[in-house]
Amino acid sequence: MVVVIGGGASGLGVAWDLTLRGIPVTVVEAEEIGAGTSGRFHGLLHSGGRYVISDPVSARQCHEENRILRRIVPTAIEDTGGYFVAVGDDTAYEEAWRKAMDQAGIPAVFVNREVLAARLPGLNPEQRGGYWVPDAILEGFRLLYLLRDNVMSHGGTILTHSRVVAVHEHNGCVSGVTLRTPEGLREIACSAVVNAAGPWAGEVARLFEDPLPMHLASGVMLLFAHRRVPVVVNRLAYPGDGDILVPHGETVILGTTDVHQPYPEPPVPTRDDVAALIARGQLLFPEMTEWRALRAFAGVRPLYASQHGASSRSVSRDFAVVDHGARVGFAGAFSLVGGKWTTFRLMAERTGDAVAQFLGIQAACRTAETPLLPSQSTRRGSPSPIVCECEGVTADDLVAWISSSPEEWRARTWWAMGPCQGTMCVHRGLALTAPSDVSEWRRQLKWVREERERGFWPAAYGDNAREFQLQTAVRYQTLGEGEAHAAL
Amino acid sequence: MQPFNRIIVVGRGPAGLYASALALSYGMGVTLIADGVGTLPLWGGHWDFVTTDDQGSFVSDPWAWWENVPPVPGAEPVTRAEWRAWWGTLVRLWDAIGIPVDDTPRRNRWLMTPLGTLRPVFLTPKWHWIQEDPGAVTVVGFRDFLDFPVAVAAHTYAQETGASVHTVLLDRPPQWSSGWQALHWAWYFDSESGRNWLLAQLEATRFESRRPVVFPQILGVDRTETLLGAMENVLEVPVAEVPLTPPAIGGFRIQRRWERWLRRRGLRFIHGHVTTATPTSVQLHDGRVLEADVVVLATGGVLGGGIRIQADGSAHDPVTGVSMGRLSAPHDLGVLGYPAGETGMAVVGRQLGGRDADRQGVGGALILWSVHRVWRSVGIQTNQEGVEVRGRIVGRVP
Repeated sequence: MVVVIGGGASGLGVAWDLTLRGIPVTVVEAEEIGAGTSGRFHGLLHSGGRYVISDPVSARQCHEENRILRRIVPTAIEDTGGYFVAVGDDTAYEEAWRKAMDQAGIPAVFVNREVLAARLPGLNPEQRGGYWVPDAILEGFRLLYLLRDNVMSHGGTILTHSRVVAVHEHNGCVSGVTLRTPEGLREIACSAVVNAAGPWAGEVARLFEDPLPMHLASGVMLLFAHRRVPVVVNRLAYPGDGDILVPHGETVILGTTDVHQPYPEPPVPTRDDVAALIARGQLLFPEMTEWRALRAFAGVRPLYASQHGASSRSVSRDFAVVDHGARVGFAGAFSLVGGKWTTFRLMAERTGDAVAQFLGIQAACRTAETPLLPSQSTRRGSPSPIVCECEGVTADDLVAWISSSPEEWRARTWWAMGPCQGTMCVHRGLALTAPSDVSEWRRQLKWVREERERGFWPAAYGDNAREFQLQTAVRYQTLGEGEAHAAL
Repeated sequence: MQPFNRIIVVGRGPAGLYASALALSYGMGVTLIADGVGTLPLWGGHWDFVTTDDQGSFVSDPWAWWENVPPVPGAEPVTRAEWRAWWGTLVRLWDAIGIPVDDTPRRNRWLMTPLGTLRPVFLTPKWHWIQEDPGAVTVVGFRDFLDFPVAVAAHTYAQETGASVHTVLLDRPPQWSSGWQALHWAWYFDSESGRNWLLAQLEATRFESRRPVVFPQILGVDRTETLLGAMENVLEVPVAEVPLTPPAIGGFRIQRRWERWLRRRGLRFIHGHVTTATPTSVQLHDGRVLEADVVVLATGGVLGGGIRIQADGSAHDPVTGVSMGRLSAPHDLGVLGYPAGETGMAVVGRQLGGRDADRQGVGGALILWSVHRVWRSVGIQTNQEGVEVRGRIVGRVP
């Protein structure tokens, strides 16, 4: 048995890798699937073009993994392709970028400015043309749940809202862990532990008494309500703020900022973050201030660096599998740190290699050839009332996940994620749980409202400010959600 | 003596309709311009005086609360007699329009929300279920109508009040389909088949005797009173409704009746977008310029679209260019607006700043105060005798 700490892309990826090697796994996630960095990214499946100058090793890995993921999880990828758009007069970077793409073997096809202008309405007229690259869109939550469902259908265990609080050793080898679960403390015997906790990996490594140097940097992203671009759009420049747009369904995400921070929790985006992001985004689309914003969100890049203080743009997107047995004599303890969403499978493969070798198990990695199969639909045949009009979510869609948390309902169905940000549907959805405990019900309602407001408020300008005010009006006037209570 | 006959009102929310109705009753010619459906269907139809004090506690006696408190910071306080006269005007107006309403209340009463919580309200249409002292009730829902979660409402109401709650879950009608929202239900109950279906359900269901029966506010659009009467005949107890999230059928009913009434009295309605407004003219998006004696801005603040927020947090009125400073917290969105002092524009309702209509529950009071203030500022007011223009009685209200 191997215990994997972290229910994001790297943790679930490792669990899937080990499962296919025939090694039993238990994943321990402190919150929900994808609650950390994996659920908080711009959704780009990298071609490698973005990092080909700053980080060529990672760029090559991205290119290779991009092609593998298209094979094994086609249902979680929208293959739009992408453009790198040259704006301004930095022709030296363009020249270097073309050479580097050539060397890395990543396709990049020149597109002249007239074609680009026709393909991307509203694009800055000062563009000089650009390049088509095999960027694509990765539906992060869809892939995370595919991993989760496949791990479980192969006999793996996934525990959410649980933490590893101690790792036990016997003769210098991992022998088990103590978990704090919602039901209380629990011991699991295991022969290896993999720390795949993303930004929390530094803290988790303390359980092995072997602290890891992490370089944590937050990135704020802004979600717009309309799919303003048909494909991924990058600005052809050294990676910087507000230089990438990724369409998702009917929306588009603008990414990102890059601010070093000492702690792993994602920050709450501010209005200043949003204004700064838009100002940079206007280099690509000058009318961006008029686009209908929906919400802002932030993720934390779990970069691994032995040298602190460097700008995280210059810290490698490469990853490392740390063997704490070799470092401090805690055999069977591994940490997977750094890396990117796009390369999660490769990261998992290398980790799986190390763990299998440690366990003395001769089993090669099979993830590159094994498709992740979608789980069976649980819909019943009869018509079901619509709960969330924005995203077309029915009562049956939500009831299928009724035993999970509101957070998982959102990630599974996109309930409360559309333009009204839950104004009309949060109470409808929560009511489906047929609650008997009113205070618990109100606590959940408050929790969802607060969670939504954190991203809603920083993007409350233009029509989204009206939407925000509508939510306030409905909450206070119609639903009586205000705090005020009077003696009856 | 008719000093003004060309009035332009911009906006068709409650402030715009109230300003228009008074102006028509004064004998003025009124043009109402609006570019959308207005905010009435966002709201069930309750008219707040004040619900919540500055400390966040519910207010039971709004008359006393408003003593010496200015409607917005910087304005003069309003006397009890003035408030009473204005509420009386509203009650008579709604009565004339055909929106059923009781006399001016003496204090706030309790309104049940769709979640079963209680909030104070002042004046409401008679459809609303209003109580002086919350007591036993039967709460009725319909299968697959999700806007009124009966189990939650019943649990919460029982917990908050200690009163006995009986719940009844009726089936969905044979015509139901998954896309049905509140308005589908309401139109269905306006129809003969819908009414018959509902009455048959009531006949076939056992209800606890001697307690009111409360339904979600979907009991018809134009024929609500007839339906409620028929339901009360079957059940032999009072039947009333809980107003729901938008589109709120109560506000929708009011808007239909009120706008029909205004048009019959000669209101000119222009469906168009105002790009520029001055105190005596507006320009429309098609280039037309309309001159007026008075232009009234009833454009609804941030919620109505009358105040625009930029990405940098600055706020302004896009049709006048008047700047309103910058936002720093979510609460500011409800307080932003024109100051009480003279800005040259006649501004009513939420477009005025200074108080949060949603959090404090003062929206109705601010509409009454601001509309009467506008007409008084040009020399017109109403009193016991009728409409007085510059000292001379010219008509009755409404």
